[in-house]
Amino acid sequence: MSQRQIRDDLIRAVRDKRLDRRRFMKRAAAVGASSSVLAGALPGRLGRFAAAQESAPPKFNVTLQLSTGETYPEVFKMYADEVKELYGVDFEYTMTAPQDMYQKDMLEFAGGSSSYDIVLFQPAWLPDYAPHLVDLGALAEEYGLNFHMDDALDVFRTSYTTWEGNFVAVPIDADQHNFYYNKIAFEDPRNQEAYKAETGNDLRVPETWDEYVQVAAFFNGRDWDFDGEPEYGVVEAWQRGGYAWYWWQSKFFSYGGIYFDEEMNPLINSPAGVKALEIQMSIVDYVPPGTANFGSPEARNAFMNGEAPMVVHWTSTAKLSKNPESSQIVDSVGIAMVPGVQDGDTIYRRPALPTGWVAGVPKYSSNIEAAVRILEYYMQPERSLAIALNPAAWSEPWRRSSFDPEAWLNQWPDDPDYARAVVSVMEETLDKGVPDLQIPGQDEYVKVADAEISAALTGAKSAQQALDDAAAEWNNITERLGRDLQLTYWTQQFEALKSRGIVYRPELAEGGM
Amino acid sequence: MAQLTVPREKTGWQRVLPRHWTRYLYPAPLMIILAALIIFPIAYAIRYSFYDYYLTRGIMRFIGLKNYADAFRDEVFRQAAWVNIRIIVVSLIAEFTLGLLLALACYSIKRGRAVIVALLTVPIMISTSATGMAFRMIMLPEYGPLNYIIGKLLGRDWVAIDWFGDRNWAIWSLVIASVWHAMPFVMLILLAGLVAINQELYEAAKIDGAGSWRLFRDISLPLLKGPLFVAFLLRLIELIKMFDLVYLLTQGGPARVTETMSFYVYYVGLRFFRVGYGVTLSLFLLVLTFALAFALMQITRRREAVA
Amino acid sequence: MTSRYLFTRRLRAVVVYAFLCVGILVAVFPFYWIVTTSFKYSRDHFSKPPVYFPTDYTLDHYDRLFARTDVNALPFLKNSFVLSTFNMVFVVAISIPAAYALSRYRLGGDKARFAILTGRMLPPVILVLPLFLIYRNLNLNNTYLGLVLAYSIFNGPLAVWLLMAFFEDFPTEIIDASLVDGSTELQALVRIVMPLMAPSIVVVALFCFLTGWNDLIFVLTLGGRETQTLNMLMVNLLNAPSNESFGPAAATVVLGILPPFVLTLFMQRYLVSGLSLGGVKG
Repeated sequence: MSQRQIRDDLIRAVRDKRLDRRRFMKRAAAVGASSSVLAGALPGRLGRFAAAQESAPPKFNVTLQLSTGETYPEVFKMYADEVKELYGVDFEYTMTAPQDMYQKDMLEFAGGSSSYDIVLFQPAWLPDYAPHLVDLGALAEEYGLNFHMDDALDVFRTSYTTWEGNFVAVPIDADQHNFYYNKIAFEDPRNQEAYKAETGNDLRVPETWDEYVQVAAFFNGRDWDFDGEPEYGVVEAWQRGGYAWYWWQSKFFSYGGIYFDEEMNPLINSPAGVKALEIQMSIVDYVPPGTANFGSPEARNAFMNGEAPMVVHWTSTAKLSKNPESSQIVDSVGIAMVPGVQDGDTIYRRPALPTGWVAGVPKYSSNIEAAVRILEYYMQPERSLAIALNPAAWSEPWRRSSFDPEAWLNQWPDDPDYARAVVSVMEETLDKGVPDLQIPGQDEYVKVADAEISAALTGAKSAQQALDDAAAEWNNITERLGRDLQLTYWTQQFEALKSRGIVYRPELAEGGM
Repeated sequence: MAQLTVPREKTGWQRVLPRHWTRYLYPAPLMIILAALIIFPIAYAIRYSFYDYYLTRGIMRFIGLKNYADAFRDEVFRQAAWVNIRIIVVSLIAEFTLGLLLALACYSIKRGRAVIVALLTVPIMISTSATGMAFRMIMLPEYGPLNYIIGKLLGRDWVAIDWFGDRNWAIWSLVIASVWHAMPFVMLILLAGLVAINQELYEAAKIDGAGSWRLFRDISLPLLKGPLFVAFLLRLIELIKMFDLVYLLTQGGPARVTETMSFYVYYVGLRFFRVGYGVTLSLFLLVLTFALAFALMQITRRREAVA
Repeated sequence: MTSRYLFTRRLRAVVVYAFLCVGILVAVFPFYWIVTTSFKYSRDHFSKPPVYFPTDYTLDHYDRLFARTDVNALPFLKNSFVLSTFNMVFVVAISIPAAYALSRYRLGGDKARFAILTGRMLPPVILVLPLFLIYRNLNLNNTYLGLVLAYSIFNGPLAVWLLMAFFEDFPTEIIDASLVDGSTELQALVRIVMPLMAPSIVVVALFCFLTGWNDLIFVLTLGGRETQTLNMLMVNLLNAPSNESFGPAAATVVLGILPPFVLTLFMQRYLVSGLSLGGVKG
């Protein structure tokens, strides 16, 4: 059998659900060398890395302690057997709830220790984590390793993995927000006619936030999937711990906002912020009950159960909503760019890239070399792609080579349009997207703003009031952490954003609604 | 006791040490450990309360009394105290009304009391965290049974109550979970109190033609004062400390409307790592607790004096 | 007259029993819900309306807890047992002599009692932060010793309070008699008082065990990977943003409920005196 045939067989088996992804990897490994099958199977952008192979790595015979959460153990499990064979390394996972991770690690770091050899964390926490992590760049040189970071999209080299010039973390999951919609809702003529009659406009996937609200209002309480029961208009996630903030961010950036001006005065209470929050507040009546406490899975479920016709959500939803085990709308999922704001003739889009996950090696680990080598093993481009394609891992692609349309077509062989849309939306989103705030104390800034945004969403405060309060508290935090120091850090991010064309644009929020 | 032993000459150490000095050795280990574990931390807290100390950034600046000034003005802390007060008042009223009714009901029945009491006290066997967990699932707006049950009672399929996310309901989720957890405890103490009441008192009153309400008002209630007070005291203590349920059910949200004092202190100190300010707030909480313990002690003493 | 009297009595009994039945339903339902959730298939966790009486049961969630693929409940279970047991032994060992002396000689008088009551009332959160800082210097964070010591802050006063009440009921004549027979006070305590009070001591021990077992805030802040307890596993699973973790979380709760459940059944008759902390005496 040729490699091509083997690959096709495997992919068919996965499609027919005879094999889940994890077993697919194992089977692939059993057939030959999994990496070479995959590399051979995935031509184009990946080809040039095919030659990259390790030369007899050292054996460590240790168990590495991994601090992970969510579904990220799936990432490491994918090659656990190979790693065991090659390096003599076992993994032991500690699953900490994401909202507790920062705290747990900080408590240990503050005591000059860590229970883990590899820690997963959000790139936004880099400023707080970096002092406690080993310099991967220096060690890569020392051990002769190649992380292939030249293959990463800009944002992952500039803001997600380096801090103060040091390469200290590798991407595990490149989070980004996309827009998902239910095609039945948007394409059924009955809905289109009713919408036309009601608003005078054509029903289309919302391009702007104003349309987003209008469409939500239209669908809410309407039986738009014709199952005999009325559904909701839209869903978001506003659970405490950052979600209200994540869902506010895309709106804020599209209205021309960024976190601070260059002197570090908060801009969250600028007209852009207020406008964004008002948009969010105006859908309060159109979301399913419980939205105020929805986290990521609840919001996604509401969409995948056909209760809401559209949702802004992470890219893992692209995979999950096409999986009949988790989704009831497999045949009607559509993906698009997160809405933006009318800017002359074009739409100004600035989707948020909320959280994301990267992995680093704490200085206090006693297995630094093993941990670094393992990370490098996982960071080989063909593995990065396999990880991005694995629906169990919820990990999103971040390498240029991972956006190979071929590979994604294999993911959904029966729906090539969808596959193409997913790839192009992902790439465009990463290109235009705004990463999380990245300065020391980020967690506190976000939690404060998040609480104020929820206050407005629950009707306790006006948008302006809530954001003014948040901005005042942001100033307090800045003072407490030392304004000069914070400004130095912010300037780093400010310049990085500017180099990607992301600047404060007050005029966008001024335009009428 | 001592007077039975023959008095002897005091020699050596006995002259220096207090009489029966060995007695003081008995509580010594406990007292030393408690002192070390309470006094040292408080001393630490006092020291750091004069600093602006960020654990994660290694910032540590002496700022005098600024933390105290901030704490006095801290609206969030005041709001947290208010959350505590509301939870305490509502929970106590609910727990005691229901607990008393259940205790009276259990007391009045003859058949199956043991089994019924055992079933009613199931919540006691469940930890606070497990309680929180159970209610997290029961109160899910769309998938949890509570909204469907309430709906049924109101003659509808379902009610749209967002227990953890709606600012008007969130605090009730805490109250309901805590009442559920504590009610059997109140009931048990009151039932024990009822059982201890001498039957002859009732018989005598019945002969005098007293109705059941009068029996309750003139005999049961006055004699239940002791157990009522004890249960009240213990519940109050638990409610002031309330942390676990908040942590599990609402994390203080939405928008801080369910943040209790304990939770706020935890958030400041151990989430944001503002150690200096966190310990200052703990000191406030400490003073508050002391004042309350003192007041309760006074009441206890007066009660004992009366009895 | 008699028949009417009988009728009202019947009616009253019906009302009372009905009320109690409602009470029992309310008391048992959450417990029932957790247990069934732990045996339900994941799809039944998210159905509308909820599945009250599942027809299909599965052991998947328990399997997952022990399957060692991503979660392994064993170390958590072990830590819970080790911590609760150490804490129990330690606290009881130091509390018995203390309670004995305090109740027999009223050492410290009301002040000691006040101190104990205050100790019992202290919100743990007050001490957690400074303890963390102190432990950091002593390398006690994430150790059994650190957590056991922390538990003793709240268990110590609880145990002493309970034991004092029991000791006060103990007839002093017995001690006096043995002292006359020439034994020392300590011998009297160990050989005479403790065996006679064994049931009460067991109750106190069990309460200490449960306090350790149920702790959340200390293990949350002073614990770490090596000392995580079952409660932490539950929190981690519950807060994990994946639908699949509901079942395992419920299964963890059931595991966590079992020991308290068995223990409470065992000490049912001591429950009231225990729960009121012997406090009927004030």
